Parts: sequence; C-alpha cells; structure tokens
Amino acid sequence: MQFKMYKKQILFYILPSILFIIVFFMYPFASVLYISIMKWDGITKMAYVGLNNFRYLFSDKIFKVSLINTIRWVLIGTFVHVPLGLAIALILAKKPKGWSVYRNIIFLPNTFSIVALALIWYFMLQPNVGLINQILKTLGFEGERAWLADTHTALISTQLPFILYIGFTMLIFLAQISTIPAEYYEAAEIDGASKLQQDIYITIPLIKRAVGINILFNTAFCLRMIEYPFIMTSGGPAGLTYTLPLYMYNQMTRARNYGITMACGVITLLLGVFIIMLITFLLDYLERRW
Amino acid sequence: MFKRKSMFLRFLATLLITFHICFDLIPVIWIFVSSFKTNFEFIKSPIKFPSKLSLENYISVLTYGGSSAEEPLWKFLLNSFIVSFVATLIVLSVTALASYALLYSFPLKRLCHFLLSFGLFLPTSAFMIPYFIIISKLGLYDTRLGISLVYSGMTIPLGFLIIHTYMRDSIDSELIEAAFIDGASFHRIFKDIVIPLSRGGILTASIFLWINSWNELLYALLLSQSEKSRTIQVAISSMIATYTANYPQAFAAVLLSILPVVIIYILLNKYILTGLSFYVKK
Repeated sequence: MQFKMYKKQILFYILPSILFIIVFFMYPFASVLYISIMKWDGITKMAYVGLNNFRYLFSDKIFKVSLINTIRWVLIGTFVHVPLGLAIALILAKKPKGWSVYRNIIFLPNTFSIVALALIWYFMLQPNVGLINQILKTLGFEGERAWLADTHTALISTQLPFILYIGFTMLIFLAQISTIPAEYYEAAEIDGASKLQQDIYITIPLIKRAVGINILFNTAFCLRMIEYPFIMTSGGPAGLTYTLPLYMYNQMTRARNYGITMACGVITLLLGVFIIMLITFLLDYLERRW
Repeated sequence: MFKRKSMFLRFLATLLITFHICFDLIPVIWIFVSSFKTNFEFIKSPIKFPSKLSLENYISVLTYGGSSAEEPLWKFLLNSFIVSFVATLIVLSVTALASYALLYSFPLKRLCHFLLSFGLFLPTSAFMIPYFIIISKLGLYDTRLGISLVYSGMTIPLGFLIIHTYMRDSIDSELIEAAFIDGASFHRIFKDIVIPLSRGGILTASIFLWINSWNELLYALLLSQSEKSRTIQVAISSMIATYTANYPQAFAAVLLSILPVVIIYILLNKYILTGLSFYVKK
C-alpha cells in the first residue's frame, strides 16, 4: 500500500520499537566493543588497554575451557539435539495412534524454565538420594556415582537435559511438515516408495527451512547457556563445565573485571554473528538450488 | 526382506518414543510424589510412595520460605507475575504498532524490518554490562520495572516476528484501502480493523512473551538485589545451597514455579502450536 500522506503517522508507530532496539541492541553492541578494550571495575575511571583483555582471555585456562565447552554445546545442539528432534518429528508426523498425546507430553518439559529443569536433574543425579543412582542400585549396580562431581561425566550430565528435551525443535519440524501437500506422499506410495524413502526424498528436502531455523534457535540457546552449569555444578569440577556466559557472569560479579567480561562478550557475539551468517547463507543457497 | 526392514524400523520408532516419554514424565512424577513426603521419609527411601499425602511442604514454602528461613515464596511468585506481565504488555503494544506501520510501504521499510528482527538469534548474554549500566543509569536497579524493561528489549524481535507475520497473512490490503476510501483515519484503521483481526496473533505472542519472561534467569539475577524485585527463578536458583536440609520442600518450590506455565500450556496449547508455525514462515 502506498500512502504518502501517512509518512508522519508511520514514523510515530514505528518509533517506539526502534527506540527499544537502539537502547537494547544497538547501544549494547557498541558498548560491548568499547568496554572490551578498557580496564574498568564499574566504579573508577576507565583506562584504555588495547587488546590486553583479549590477551588475558587466551592465557586464562578457565576461559579456554569455557570457549571449548560453549562450542561443544553448539555442536551437540546441531548434531545431536536437532537430529533427535527431527527423528521424533518424522515418527509423529506419520500420526501413529495417540500421537497428539505423545506430542503434548514431549513438549511439556520445554515450557518449564531451565532453572527448574536444572534443579530437577540436579536432584535426579544426586549421588545418594538421586533417582538415577536409586534405579541403578535396584538393578544391581553397586557404588554411588557422583555424576556431577566426576570429571568424566560432569559436562555431559549438564548437557543431558538439553539434549533430551527436544520438544520445541520437534514442534517446529512438525509445523513445517504439516504444510507439505498429502498428494506428494500419495504419489510416492503408488510408486512403491517405503515410508523411510518418503522421509528421505520428500519430507527432509522440503523442511530445509525448519532445519536452518532450529539450528539457529539452538545455537542462540547454547550461546546464552548459563543455567545448567550455574545451578548443577557452578562450573565445577575443576572448572570443567564452564560456559562463556557463566565465565562472563563470574568475571563481572565476582572479579569485577568489566573489560575482560566484555572482551568475552565480543567473542560470544562474533561466534553468534558468524553462525547466523553461515546458516542463513547456506539456507539461501540450498533453497535456490533445489 | 523389505517387510522385515520396515518392521525393524517400526520397532525402533516405538522404542525411541517410549524412551522419550519416560524421560519426560519420570523425573517430574518422582519430584511430584516426593514433594508430599517429610524429609526424613524421603532420605530413608527416595523411591517409595509417601505414607500420607500432606500439603505441608507447599504451605510452608509459600508462607514462610520453608526450613531455609528465607522470605516466603509467594512474594517471588508475585514479583515474577508482575515482571512478566509488564514486559509482555510493553512488547505487545510497541510491536503491534510497528507491525501495523509495516503493512504500508515507505522508504527505509526494509531497514526497519531488518532492525526489528535481526536480534532474534543474537546471544543477548553478551550484553550483561550494557544492560546493567542502562538500568542503573535509569535508577531502576533492584526494581521490578528495571527487569521488565530489559525483558521487553530482549523480546521485541520475538513479539515482532509473531505479530507482524500474523498481520501480514491475515489482513487483506484491499480491506485497508476500502476503509481508507471510506474516510477512516490511519489510527482508526489500526484500532477498528487491524487490532480485531489480529487478535489470534496477539494472543499467541503474549503467551510466548509471558513464558519467556517468567522463565528468564540471567538478567533477573544481575538486576535484583533484594527480595522486593527478586523473581521466582532467582529465588529457586539459590535453593541448592539453602534447601539441601530439606529436599521435599525444594521439590515443592520447583513445582510451584512451574505450575503457572503448565496451566497456561494446558489451557492455551492450541495457540502455542500455531505460534510455532510462525517461525518457519517466510
């Protein structure tokens, strides 16, 4: 619609939300970059230190662990969580008996806060009263395993609830699968294609968009991940479960190194922007090719 | 050969779904059942059913914070209600206005669209210090409004995505043109035509926004100091330190924090499902 005379009204209607974007996205972006090259404790005057904060980060063992762990979170999200969500969506899309009940049960934990899920799994994995060890005990496995304190199992234990609770991812897949015309499958059925072949050659190529969106959502989720390690392990044992946000949180609230916190923020943002660009580019490319 | 393969696949599929349903339900059921026990009973036998069903744990955490001797939980639940309600209201109003304006074409429209949606996937955890500075400068540190404002800012892209897509798909441009020819003003068209027609989208967006704010931890943690602005998530997140003396009370507190969301999910399930379809629309 072209209504030139409405220019002023349009401006008025858009302004409030643009203002919010400026205050809560654009200014913070600039501020993160600026503070990352400063030495600052939040109270005294800032001092320019160049790239010293970044140098410090890459000499800090805990930071390196945090960075590697966050990348692991993203990779697990992309290559375990999303495929698992896809598999379950493909099964439920066949509408087996009771599928909508299953769908609702599978999605339910995704409405809970991560704090609640982290607490529930903290209790589940408790060495002496936790349900996991109780079950293992009744099955005859002796010895109380301290899942969250053991250096071999701590990281995967904090990631376990995220890997399993694929409800949100599954629903996004189901939403796009439901837009595929039924005739496609009827035609394939007549040609004698098995259900698996229908999934591989019809469904999956047609839901590339949902795959991309899911990878983006889960990447954003993983880059923001603080709750699971914060609640289940506080970053321990020996700092092995740290993530970038938890590292930033501790640098900010305990060490009061604002400059280092924001240097870490720059790296988080770079990682985010890089992945967003990569996925949108791939998605565009694939959608044009096929 | 062919038959056997498909039977095997079917078996695998059943197994996967069964396992998943167990993972979804068993932890919640365990916590729920145990929340009725006394601490002594729980520690003695963590997987037995309680001897009697008493609401004592729920009542004690709600009214005096349980054995941790913290503030009563109802205060934090109330704070969370207010924070997420205000945040949702702010986002709904500003994004509804913007989405309507974007139904028209005007210079820089593409730029506006980009600005309103590019933040959707950004890791906002990187903004800890700027958000802290903004809220402190506004004098809103340790207030519910301060937390609401940050939540609004962070979720504008989400609100915009849902409401804009809904308006674009459900409102015919001819309808607006006809109203315009009939002499309706810009604002009148918004109030009397666009808003009533986008009710479904607004309701869907409000559920998503409300749940998002209810569940957020990081910025509630950074921006509140005292119990007057502490949200339920912050209150229960420190529970492992304070409640380990009494597991069943901790379970009751966790379940109380989940309850509002579960009620919404049961009642408005349909809108959540349609809401998710907006993510895959172009």
